[in-house]
Amino acid sequence: MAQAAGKGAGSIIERAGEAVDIWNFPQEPWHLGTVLGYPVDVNAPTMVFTWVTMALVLFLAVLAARGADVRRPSRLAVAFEELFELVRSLIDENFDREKGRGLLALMVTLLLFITVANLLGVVPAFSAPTADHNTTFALAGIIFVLSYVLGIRYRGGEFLRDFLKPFAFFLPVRLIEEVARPTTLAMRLFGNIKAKEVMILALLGIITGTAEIAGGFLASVVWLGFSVFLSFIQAFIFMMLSIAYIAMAVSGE
Amino acid sequence: MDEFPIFNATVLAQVFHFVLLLILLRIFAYKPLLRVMDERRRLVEESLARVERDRREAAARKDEAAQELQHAREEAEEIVHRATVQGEERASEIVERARAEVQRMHDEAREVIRREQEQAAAVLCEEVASLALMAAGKIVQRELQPEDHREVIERVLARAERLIC
Repeated sequence: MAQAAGKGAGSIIERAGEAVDIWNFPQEPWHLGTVLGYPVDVNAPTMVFTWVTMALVLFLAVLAARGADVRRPSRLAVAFEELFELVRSLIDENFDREKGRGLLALMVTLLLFITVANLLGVVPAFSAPTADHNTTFALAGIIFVLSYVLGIRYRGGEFLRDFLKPFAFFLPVRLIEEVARPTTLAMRLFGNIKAKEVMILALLGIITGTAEIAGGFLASVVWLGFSVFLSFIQAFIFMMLSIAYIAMAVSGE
Repeated sequence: MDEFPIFNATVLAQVFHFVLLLILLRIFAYKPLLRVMDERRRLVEESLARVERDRREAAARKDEAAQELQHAREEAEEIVHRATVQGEERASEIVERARAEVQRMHDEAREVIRREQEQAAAVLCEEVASLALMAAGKIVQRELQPEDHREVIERVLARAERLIC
């Protein structure tokens, strides 16, 4: 019974997905070739919507930069300046001023990229790049590689010795923790955004006809408010945790 | 579970995309934005410093003005005090001078009275002598000549002077 219901729900989501998918992206990953015997495959919707995200972020940021003025900045420039101040204050709370200075651009980019990527999923027929686990793991990977690089740069051997504290016996636990952190960071974002998109499709499927007639708009409106909130909050959480993890690696606390 | 997502080259592509976006944003957006923000911060700091400097200057000027006011008040008090003292001195001088003038006039008046009294006495003596002579002449039925009876006359006059003067 439950299986039948699950199959039914799956078919509803699939049908809604097919109705909303106006781009005719291939279901299988794009095969770009082979490197050292390994196939180079990429997910087409993720690639395309990542480029859209990049273009939007670049467009907004360049527009803000053009409107930047010491005395009469444009509204967008003021919004960007406020964003910089917010991220700068968050970094300053966790880092020495000297060590945290270089992270400002990275964290602002992270916040902008994830927010815009998440919001793309709110638009019917668009797909959020962050609803692909490859994207979230890539971002989490960057953060963790950076935390190790900065940890070793500022604390050297002390950073590596932290893995043996309080006793060497705890090394496996610490290693599991080191794997769990980036995994949870990536899965949290992916899970939330993917669930948001599945929910939109489910709503489209349940309310008969809206997928075909209104392009999914009616159902999306119901879910829109929460999705927008979710998009911002998940981007903020990702950035905050990134700052916290790097700060932990750099300060050892 | 067979549909659980499998990693592929998208991970690497997304790393590349993110790094590329970071570089592009740094060059085309963040640098101009941060430059303007730094410039504004510098301007605000300068303005605050200028306000602080002006405030200190104003406070210094206020103190200076207060000191000058105090000085002027003291000077005014000094002037009033000096004028009061001078006025009092002048008044007592005038009073003294008036008193001296009164004394002088009093003395002069006394002198005049004394002289008048002496003159009156002298005239009276002469009149008395003439009357005495005339009376004596009438008594002896002849005219007495002063030259002839000088001694008598002088004796009478001396007695009359003692009586009158």
